[in-house]
Amino acid sequence: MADPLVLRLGWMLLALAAAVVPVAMRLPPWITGVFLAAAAWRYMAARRGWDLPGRWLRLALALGLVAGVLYSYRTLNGLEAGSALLVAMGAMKILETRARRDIQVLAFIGYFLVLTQLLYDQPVWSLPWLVLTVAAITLALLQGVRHGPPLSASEGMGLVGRMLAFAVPVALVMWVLFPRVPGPFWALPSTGASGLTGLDDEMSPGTVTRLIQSDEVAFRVSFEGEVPTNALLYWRGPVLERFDGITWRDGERWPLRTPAMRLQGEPVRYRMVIEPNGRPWILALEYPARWGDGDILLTHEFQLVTRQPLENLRAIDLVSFPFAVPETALGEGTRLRLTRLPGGRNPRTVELARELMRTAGSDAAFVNTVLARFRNQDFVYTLQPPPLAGAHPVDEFLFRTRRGFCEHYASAFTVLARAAGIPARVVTGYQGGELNPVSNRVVVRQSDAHAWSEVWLDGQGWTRVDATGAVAPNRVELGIAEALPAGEALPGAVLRGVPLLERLRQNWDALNTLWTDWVLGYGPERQRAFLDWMGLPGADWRALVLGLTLFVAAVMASLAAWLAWQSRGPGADPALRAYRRFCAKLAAAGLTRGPAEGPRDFAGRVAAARPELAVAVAGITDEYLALRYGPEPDPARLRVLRQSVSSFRP
Amino acid sequence: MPPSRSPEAAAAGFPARLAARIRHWPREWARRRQGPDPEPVALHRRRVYILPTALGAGFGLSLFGMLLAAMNYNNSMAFALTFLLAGLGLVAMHWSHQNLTDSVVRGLHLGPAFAGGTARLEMVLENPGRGRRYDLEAAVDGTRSAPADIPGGRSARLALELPAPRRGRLRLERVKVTTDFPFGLFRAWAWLHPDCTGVVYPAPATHPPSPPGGGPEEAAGRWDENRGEDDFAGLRSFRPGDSPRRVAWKAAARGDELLVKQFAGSPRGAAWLDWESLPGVAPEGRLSILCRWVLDAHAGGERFGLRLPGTEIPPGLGTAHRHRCLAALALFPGGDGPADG
Repeated sequence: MADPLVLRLGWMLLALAAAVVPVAMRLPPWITGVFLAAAAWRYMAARRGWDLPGRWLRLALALGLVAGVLYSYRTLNGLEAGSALLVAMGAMKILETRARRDIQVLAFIGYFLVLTQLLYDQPVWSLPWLVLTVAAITLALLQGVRHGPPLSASEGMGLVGRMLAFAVPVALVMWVLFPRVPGPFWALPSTGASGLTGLDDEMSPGTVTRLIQSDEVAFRVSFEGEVPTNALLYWRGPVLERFDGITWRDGERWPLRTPAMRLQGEPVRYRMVIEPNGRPWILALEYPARWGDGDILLTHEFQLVTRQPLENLRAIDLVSFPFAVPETALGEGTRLRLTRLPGGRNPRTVELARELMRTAGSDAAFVNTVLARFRNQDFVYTLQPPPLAGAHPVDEFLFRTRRGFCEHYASAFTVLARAAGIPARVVTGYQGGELNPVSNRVVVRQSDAHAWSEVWLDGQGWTRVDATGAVAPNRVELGIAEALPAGEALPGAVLRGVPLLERLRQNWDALNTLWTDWVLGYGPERQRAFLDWMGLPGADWRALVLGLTLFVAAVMASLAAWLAWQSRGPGADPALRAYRRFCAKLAAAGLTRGPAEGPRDFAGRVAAARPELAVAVAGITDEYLALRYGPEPDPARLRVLRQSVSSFRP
Repeated sequence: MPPSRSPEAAAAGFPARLAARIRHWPREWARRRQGPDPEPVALHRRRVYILPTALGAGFGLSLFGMLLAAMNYNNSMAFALTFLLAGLGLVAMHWSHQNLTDSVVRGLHLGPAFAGGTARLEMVLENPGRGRRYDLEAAVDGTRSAPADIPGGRSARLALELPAPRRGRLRLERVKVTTDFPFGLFRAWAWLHPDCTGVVYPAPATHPPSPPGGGPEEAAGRWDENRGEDDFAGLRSFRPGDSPRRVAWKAAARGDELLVKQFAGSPRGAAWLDWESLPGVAPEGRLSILCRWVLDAHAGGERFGLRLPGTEIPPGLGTAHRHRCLAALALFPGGDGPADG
């Protein structure tokens, strides 16, 4: 047999590899390299009996690794640098692993690696990965701390499997019932989910087009009741009010003080599960009226924002009124601010707007005139617009290229409206979404990103004007995939063309929706909803803790019973049990068998005392003696013995 | 019963004495609660204690940190990991406890020792259950046996070497049977208070004077072949010069050692090892020298008797006789006790 240390190390290195693989995908390659090299070297050293590096060498290596992490990330803080540091420290620990204690520390490092990965990302596969990796590390820990020789693989796996069979129900109960509290208690270092795609708080030609290239899910929505038509699905994101001639930027945001919305029409109730986007936007359906989260506020631009950027998946229940009329009055200062344009920029556009306003006569007529112009002239909706490089991009777009994407149309329309003296602004967000027939949920992807305009019409308030809809009506009514000209495709569109793959994709997506909705989105609200459904409405945290304790105690009691059954003997012979029952019946009738009295003597005494029982007693005694002391007990005779004992009435 | 403090503990500072007292208290409580244990001792649930180890405490702290992270980031999967590990910890606690519970200890035996050496404590641990038990150890005051795995329905022999610093009776206060299986997060143990004593012989002198009236060397190897075969006294190892007729061939065939029969009726070499023959030597020194003489005489196949003040053991041969003499030296001046070692 191989050296036990080699076996123990081997188990732990394998388990750590399972923990490191997903973490390594987002680490600089050199850290993974160091980890692999340390593991390989330590394993060979154990096999060949090489000396381990001395303390000073290890210290120097450790300092070097810390410096390397610091160089790669410019910080030691945060999830990213933290997990890099954890992997590096794991490599160092592997180098000095000699004893039980080192193996234990390695197991703890493994558990924490799993934690950092889960904090970073939680796709569907992370659950089986979590269970398998924890099982592997636990098995390696079991092998590592053994005093005796390592267990065989099957015996060790059997043990860990049986332990998990009891630990998983405990975990499930705790997961469901542990009181979930909203919000972070203190600002932790950002999970550093950098490189997240999502809407920005500024827009210039090309920004939305770039976002469209991503097939990633932005958020998922489940509607209570009917799913509204595509044309109503305007998911409101940042509202951009400042324009420098090229780029639209977000102004200040302040909370809406007065309820400046006239709610009308049918409300839409829905639940959003928003993927982390690193921004504080909640992309509510226009116009949000109620939301069940104290951390969220509505800005004066009717945008929902959170106090903290969305670093984690967030589930929110909302009510929106698509037909509400926002803001019934506009201050003079605001009117001035929202009709301002940078001087000397896009002069031909300004000229055109004034001319159109003169002929139109009213603000509403002006809007229609501009939209008719987009519709009737040779404007093209395309994902590949020619670049607008000059100082007057709106002029260039309106009079020369006439090929653009939603941001071009929204920007051009808003500039025209402002030039005509109509308060106007750009709204970015998402439009539409894909209804998954399997899960009956709407999935909104980055490719559904959109930009539109809002103009202030006296007597009507803020009115949405989607200039893109004038050029490509299908964009609003059917979604972006239908609106693009032939030859231009969205990512993932090829897959959508094949029916079988499309069904698979929809099922996968439905699974993802369930996952995000019920597993990742299981927070305070979901917990309350679940308890309501269980028939425990209004259960407070005390009730939860009580229920939790009771359930866990029940699982532990079953474990204790099973373990006790395992550790007790096989128990008394069935024939002996039946005979004891028989003796107990006689004892109840006043005939107690003496401690040294043989069955035959006892039968004789009973027969003498109660002659009417003699036959039955003799029969039972004979059967018992035959089963107990005869050769090869016969199951049929055992049944006879049991029956006669059962029917025995002294 | 007051705590019997060792000189080391008495010499140590207050914290060490306090720590010793804190350790001592639960043991005495367990003793009062359980009483002495006649064999066999079944380790029932109520007498198996369990506490987390340092590693277990670290594990608990780590779980708390994970829980805080999960709550702060509101991360469902971090909750899942924390609770899965917590579940494993709880299961490990029960497993550890049951790994020991319901096993049976019997056959406790404390062998003899020479002062300054070690006495061997042996016991049999039975697993009456179906399942296998792992990593069970016996421990006495920090000395541990090798761990044993016991399959269901089987038993294992645990042995440990106890230090025997002083001549006399070695009383076994308590034995701990313990395990930290499966993960070392918890340690379960049971205290046993067996009625078990051993004998510690004096340390044999290294340079003893020759015994008076002819040492065992002169008698060694010379045996009257025709006389004294009436009283079989035991077996000893073969030495060159032994007659082939005296070799115990049957016994030799069983083992790999050649053994020779010894008879109590042998006329030669009947020596008296006498306390009084060593005037001017301190009592412990005398015991030490006598111990060495007994060992040499026994090794030489010598018939010998032992005379101590108040005790006289008539000449004899064999291992039992050797033990009787050594025990008399060990327990001096208490007479030749029943030396059950």
